[in-house]
Amino acid sequence: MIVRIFWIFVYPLIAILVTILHTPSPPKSKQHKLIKVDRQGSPMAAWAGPWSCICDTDSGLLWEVKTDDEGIHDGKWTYSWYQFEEGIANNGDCYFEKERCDTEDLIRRTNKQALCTSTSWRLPTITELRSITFKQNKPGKAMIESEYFPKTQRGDYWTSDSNRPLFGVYQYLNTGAGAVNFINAETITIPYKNAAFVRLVSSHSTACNKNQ
Amino acid sequence: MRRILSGAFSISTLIFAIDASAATKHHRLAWDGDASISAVIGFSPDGSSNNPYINFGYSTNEESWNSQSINSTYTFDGSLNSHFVRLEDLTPNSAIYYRICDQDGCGDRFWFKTAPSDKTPFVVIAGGDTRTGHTTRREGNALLAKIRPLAVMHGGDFTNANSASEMDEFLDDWALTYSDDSIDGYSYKRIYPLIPTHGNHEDGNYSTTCQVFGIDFNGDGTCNPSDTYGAVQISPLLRVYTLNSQFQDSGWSSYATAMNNWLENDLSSSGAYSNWRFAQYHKPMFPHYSGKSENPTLFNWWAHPFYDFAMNLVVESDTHLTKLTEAVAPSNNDFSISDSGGTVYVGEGSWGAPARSANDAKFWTIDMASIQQYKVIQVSPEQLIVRTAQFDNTAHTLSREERANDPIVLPQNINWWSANRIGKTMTLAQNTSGRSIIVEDGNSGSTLSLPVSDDTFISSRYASSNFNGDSDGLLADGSDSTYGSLYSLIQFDLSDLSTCSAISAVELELNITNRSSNSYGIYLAGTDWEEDSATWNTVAGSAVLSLLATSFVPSTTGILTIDLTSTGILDSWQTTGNTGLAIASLNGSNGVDITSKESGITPVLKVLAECGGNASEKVSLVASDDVFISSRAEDNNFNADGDGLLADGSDLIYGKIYSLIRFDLADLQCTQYIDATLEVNVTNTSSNSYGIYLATKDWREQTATWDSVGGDNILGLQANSFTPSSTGRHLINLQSSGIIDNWLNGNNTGLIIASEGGINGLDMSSKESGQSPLLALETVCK
Repeated sequence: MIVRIFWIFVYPLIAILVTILHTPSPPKSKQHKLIKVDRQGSPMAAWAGPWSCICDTDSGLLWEVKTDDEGIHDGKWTYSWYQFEEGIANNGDCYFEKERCDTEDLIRRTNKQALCTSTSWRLPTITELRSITFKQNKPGKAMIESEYFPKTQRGDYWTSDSNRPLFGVYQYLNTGAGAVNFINAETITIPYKNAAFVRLVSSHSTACNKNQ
Repeated sequence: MRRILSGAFSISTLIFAIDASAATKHHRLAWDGDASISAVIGFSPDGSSNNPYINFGYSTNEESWNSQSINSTYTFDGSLNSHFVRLEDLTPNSAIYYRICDQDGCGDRFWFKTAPSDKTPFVVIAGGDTRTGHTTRREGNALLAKIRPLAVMHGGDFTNANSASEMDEFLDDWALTYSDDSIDGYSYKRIYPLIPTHGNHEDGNYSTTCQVFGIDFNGDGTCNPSDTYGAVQISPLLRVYTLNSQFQDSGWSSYATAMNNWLENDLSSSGAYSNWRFAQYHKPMFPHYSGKSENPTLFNWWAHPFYDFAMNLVVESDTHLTKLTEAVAPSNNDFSISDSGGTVYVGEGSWGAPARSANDAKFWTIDMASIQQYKVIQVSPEQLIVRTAQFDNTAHTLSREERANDPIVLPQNINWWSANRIGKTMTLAQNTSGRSIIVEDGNSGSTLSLPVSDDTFISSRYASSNFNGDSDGLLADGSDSTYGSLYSLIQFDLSDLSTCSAISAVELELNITNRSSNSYGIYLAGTDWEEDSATWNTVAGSAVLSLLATSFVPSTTGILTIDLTSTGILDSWQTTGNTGLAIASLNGSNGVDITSKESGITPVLKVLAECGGNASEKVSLVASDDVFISSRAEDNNFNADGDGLLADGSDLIYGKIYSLIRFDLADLQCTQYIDATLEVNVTNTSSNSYGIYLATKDWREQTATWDSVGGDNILGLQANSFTPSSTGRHLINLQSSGIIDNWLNGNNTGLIIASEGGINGLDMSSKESGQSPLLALETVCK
């Protein structure tokens, strides 16, 4: 009799209580590969800000984040390709140099500034820069995760790959440098004298290594 | 009807007030009608300026001046107040002197010129996009004051936010365009008339050009969107059409229809009465930056009327770069090159706004670049000469007297952009229909590249050593730790100039491999020398530095062009002996390295001249062999196939397809050429890009198959590429590729047309199926 009462009344009650009281923990999502990093090189929560760099935990690369403050990281500044005495100096447009601007200017300034505590900022390779393209962004937007990389322009971003042959209307210039076009995430070669955008990268940052 | 203010009256009795100062600022001048007899003078109050008016006359004798009240006052963006005086019935080709006066007296003295009523030549400037980049905007403005044009065309986007505060800054900066003159003992400012365009950054207020510059194209005395399009007649030589590309946006269709009807009517009724027709509007039909969308609506509106009514030059803005195009005609949804006459498009607006990557060339683009610039155009009855001025402070300043003596003279030392093939000047003439033809060197002279006969360097520390053929190339330094003082010596073979006259340009090209921030002088060499014996001692050391011709700073690596035109050094070589030149440091010990003829790219002396013995001849060759090959039918020969010539990245039936074309050059009388163009007739278009490649091995059309030519291995050096987006004739420049040199040197393996990516195939006619591919060569007989 007692056993029957248990099965009929108590057990269902216990089962209901257990169901109510036990809320299963939500499935844990895979951590996003991009992490915001503040100017001092410390990681930040995904919803926090302002941030100055992005650490890509897949590649271990630390990326410069662009601004719209007319400082050296302003996203609208353009640069001609010039480094190690190769290329064309001072053929882009920024306001922070007395002359016009080239890639070496931004690298020098950013390393001096020790952005996100790194002093090894440089131009990315084509492969590195293509690793942060994001083709699923909204139509009309630059092909990058713009929630992490704001102020990215729909245009060409320089890479370190130089001495590449030029064709078509630019063939007479012989060689130029590779750029990744964030309109369609494709790689093109443009003359060193072109004014293109730049996003610097650092591969040996303590800021990014902290996060891994 | 435009309100015409009468009531001009003699003011000789009011002179007592003149030497006080009126409370006005932001003086500007605009043209919106017949520029030989009318102008709109604008200004803003600077504090309290009550009942301002203008005193003006045709001399500096202010007692003879008349006075005229303001005839309109507009407020832009709620706070920028401007007064406008419309002067009419002026005397053509005359200096107009004026001052703005108010209760405090009269302000600064200004003067401008009305347009001629005859065909006297003049200079106009055309640019756009001053909205940001204030430093470079100001540099452009200051350069304008040095050039002293008759008028200025502005393609829109004056400011970024189209706010009163930003327009205030624009007008502050516009004051830099005034030229300072002393006339009859008075300080005058030369002010230049602006012909403004509505840009997309003015979209918040379609009355901007009226409220800020007083433009009233429709003459109704009020500001409204219809004032954003109209024509300005600048003498019988030029009619300038200003159009509003922003009417393509939704909501403006009725204005667009009215504008386009007016355009066609005006071109039909008035266009032909001018020697030349220009158009300006803001958005390019085909921007040369991939981040900007194409504007097919504008193409559909204007490309055909422009061609039909012989619009000679179109100035576009918005993209923040420079471009020059071939003379083009509309063809389906694109342009085709029209060597026999068409419209030339230039642009694209970088008068301050940060330059963008010039990354979207069309097959009809001559050249493009990411630079800050505007166009400087010399207008004369027979020709237009279009140059692109880059902004820096190197230009000399033209004086009032120099401008008066020569209406098209330009200041020296302007930093002109040099376009591939065209150089620094694009000259336009007209065909019998009034359409533009680009006059190239072959028509007005030839550019000869004179070879180096001797080059070496000498060292003060190794004074007896000869360094000819040294692997370091050519060195120059003020004080090198190893070599001491270093001079480079270069001599050119001038024998090709023996039949030339009228030398109009001389440029030295050096390939810099190690740059320097120091200045280097180019000297006429004072002693004779030869490369295999020259030493410091044999040329008597620094005595070899005879006359300083010019100087340069080799601040970047790569090809450096140094203008020697006005140095007289070539004259000296021709008249007193060809001793060559010496390059030596003018200061410092930061050395420069230059490649020699033995170590790399040889120095070159380029001379533009009329050469009697080197008359150019145009030859058009039909293909001797043409066929296509297929990777899926690798043993099949497709000569004379009914499909003509095919090319594709991956065709369902044929797989990869290449077209092979060869021209027989054996009968060429003259083997030096100055221009080479491939012409193909496209019968089925493709949106993909196709490359032109040198074939790596010989072949003939009767036997060529995929396997016999080695498949992909047939693709050699890429010479050019094109996108066959329209049917009909496509011209592909081969002149700079070196591919013709290969053929002429005995390796005439022809060329391949192959897809650069994509599977949208291309059909062309072959010599058997319709129209043979053509090779147009402009040759020179030595």
